[in-house]
Amino acid sequence: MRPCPSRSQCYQRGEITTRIGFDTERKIKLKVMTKEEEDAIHWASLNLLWKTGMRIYSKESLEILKANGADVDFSQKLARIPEHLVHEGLKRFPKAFDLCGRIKANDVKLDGRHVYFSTDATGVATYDLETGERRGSNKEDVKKVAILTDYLPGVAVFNPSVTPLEVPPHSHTLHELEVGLNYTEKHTMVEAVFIKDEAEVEIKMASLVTGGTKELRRRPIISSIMCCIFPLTLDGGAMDASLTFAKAGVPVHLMSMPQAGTTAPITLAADIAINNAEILGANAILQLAAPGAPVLYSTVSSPMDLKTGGYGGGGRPETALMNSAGVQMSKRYGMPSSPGSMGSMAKMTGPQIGHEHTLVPLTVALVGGDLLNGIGMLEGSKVLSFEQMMIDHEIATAVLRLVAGFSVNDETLSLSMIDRVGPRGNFLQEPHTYKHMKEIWDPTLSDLRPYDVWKASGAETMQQVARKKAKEILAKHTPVPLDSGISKQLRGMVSDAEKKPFPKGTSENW
Amino acid sequence: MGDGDSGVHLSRLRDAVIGCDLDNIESIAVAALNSKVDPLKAIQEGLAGGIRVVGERYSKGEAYLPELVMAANVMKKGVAVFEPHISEGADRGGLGKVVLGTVEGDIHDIGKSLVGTLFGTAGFEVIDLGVDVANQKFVDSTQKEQAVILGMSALMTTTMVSMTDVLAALADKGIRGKVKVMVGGAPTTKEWAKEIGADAQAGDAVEALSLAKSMLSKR
Repeated sequence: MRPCPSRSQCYQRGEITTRIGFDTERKIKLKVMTKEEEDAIHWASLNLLWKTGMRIYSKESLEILKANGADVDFSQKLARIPEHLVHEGLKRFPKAFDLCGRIKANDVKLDGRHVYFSTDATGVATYDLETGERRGSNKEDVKKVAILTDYLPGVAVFNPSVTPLEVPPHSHTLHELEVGLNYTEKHTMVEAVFIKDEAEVEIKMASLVTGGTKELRRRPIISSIMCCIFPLTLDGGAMDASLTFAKAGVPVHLMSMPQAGTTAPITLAADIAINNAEILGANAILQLAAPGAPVLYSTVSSPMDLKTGGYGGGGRPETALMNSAGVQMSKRYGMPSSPGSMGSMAKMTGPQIGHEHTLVPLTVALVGGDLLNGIGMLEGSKVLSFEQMMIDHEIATAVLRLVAGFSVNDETLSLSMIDRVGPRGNFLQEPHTYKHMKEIWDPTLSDLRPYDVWKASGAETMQQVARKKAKEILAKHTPVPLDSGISKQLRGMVSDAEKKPFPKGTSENW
Repeated sequence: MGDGDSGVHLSRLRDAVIGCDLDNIESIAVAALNSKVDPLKAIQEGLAGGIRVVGERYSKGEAYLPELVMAANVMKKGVAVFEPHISEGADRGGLGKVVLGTVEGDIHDIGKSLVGTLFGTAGFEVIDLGVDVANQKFVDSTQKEQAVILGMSALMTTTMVSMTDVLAALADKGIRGKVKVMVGGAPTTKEWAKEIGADAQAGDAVEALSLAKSMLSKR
């Protein structure tokens, strides 16, 4: 563990008491597959990519594959990708890079040693912080998420959480990005973009903040999600947008979401093979088009609810196993990962989401996930709850603490002190205790006080405390603003883009 | 020297306690003495001022227990420098004696010792009888020391019943009215304290101190 500068500043200001959080180094490690099982998944994926092939609705992607020796059927939009292209793709991506913040202190180091959390995307409703009412989401909600993200040490990356419903639908991701760039100095993950022109506007917006496209490539302050929804299928617009991002050096999260029982077989091994094939296939295309493009391996998987056929939620033991298997495969390839971590079909804060939001991220972190997503959402990432965001932050800091493990050395064994204090002694007053006390996880919401004290101070539930804390932070924390000129230009770019919808992606045009 | 210089020394003493600066407190205290800062003022406004800040932070759940203990140790070290220089007859603002201990059959002492440390820094003279203290010893010490407060601690439901016996013994001796009896420790509650006829129960050391002060001021 080592504190990042911004955390230490918060720490010095007395706003946070624990040093654990922003960039915890992982110590404990776990595997969910043997080496042989891992090999089998790898070979199965190669088999799927070559024998079954992928349906790809992006003309540019198919042309790239064709030019490099894949077996492409343009009429069927089907590409059979040979092993050598997959391996070429695996050779080209950077094995370590940073998801940069607006300031260096907030850079997320994807080096396989650190572990971080991000918020989630993208829901359509919010539990209002004032009224408690569940209502449609708006831009003010996104802003609140950005401000809380900026403040909370255990949240390293801003993902907009909900979409502003009051803006023209074709411009929603731009509004979200505008909020991210303005209201947090941390990295912004933009929601999946399905149109190339939209991606271009986002790149322009981010370049404006970094001071140019070259600077954006050097310090990518945004990253984009490329989401595979159907099995062995790549959306046309999404791939075109991802190619645009990749060429600009903007990291792309290659997100595969196999739902066991519907968009993937019911058995986990097959899900992982399909998930792995999708990510390897998409990566091959991006690396052939833009060698060295930064990408992340992102498995966000879950079985469907076999009783209703609905979304099974992201908090089940199988979710933990599948997302962890994804992380294990990412480690095999040396690709940084952003696995699905917190997810739940819970309709409200409480016991269900509490256990679900612990089970999956803990497992995924132990296996070695780099950037764990999902903070703050209910109902399968559809509904934002600020209370839940605070509670999830609490869980996140506990997970980070756990995976940091502990060190064994002379200082931590402290034998001479034990000898001095002796049997039946007490270590409370030892300078050693004082020196190391902040290494112990320090909850900010969990109540550890005796009953009487708790009752006398209002007998509040964790949710009530969480809501109060969220309000307190929003009342007192003002993120460092962007230069007002830049902010104004961003506003102009978003309102220009708002005027008319972007031309449709290639998937509809050919 | 002017008051301004004295103010600088007092704030250095306060900061040393707040910052738990065990290594430098002595030299800071000696420097204050050399600059002719009134030793009593140095303790009451400098060192104790620091303890009050840490105590308040602790009450709000911001400071850590080891921090509070460490700050108290820094204060003790500082007091030891000033103590020999306080003129005889100076009004030390003492609050009286407190007899403390963990009850018979019980050897838990962390909470009790912390109460002692805090009371000591607040101006009480603390007589800590230790752990596994016989009922009679509580009574005898209270009488002998003319204690204003008797504090008893227990961590087990099986041992906390001794407190009832001590209260009865105090009454037998006819000194129950002269001392405020406080009880503490995990199994004790305010209801139980009331039931056995104790004057107060506290959930932690900081609460104990504030209850003690308010009871004594109402006397």
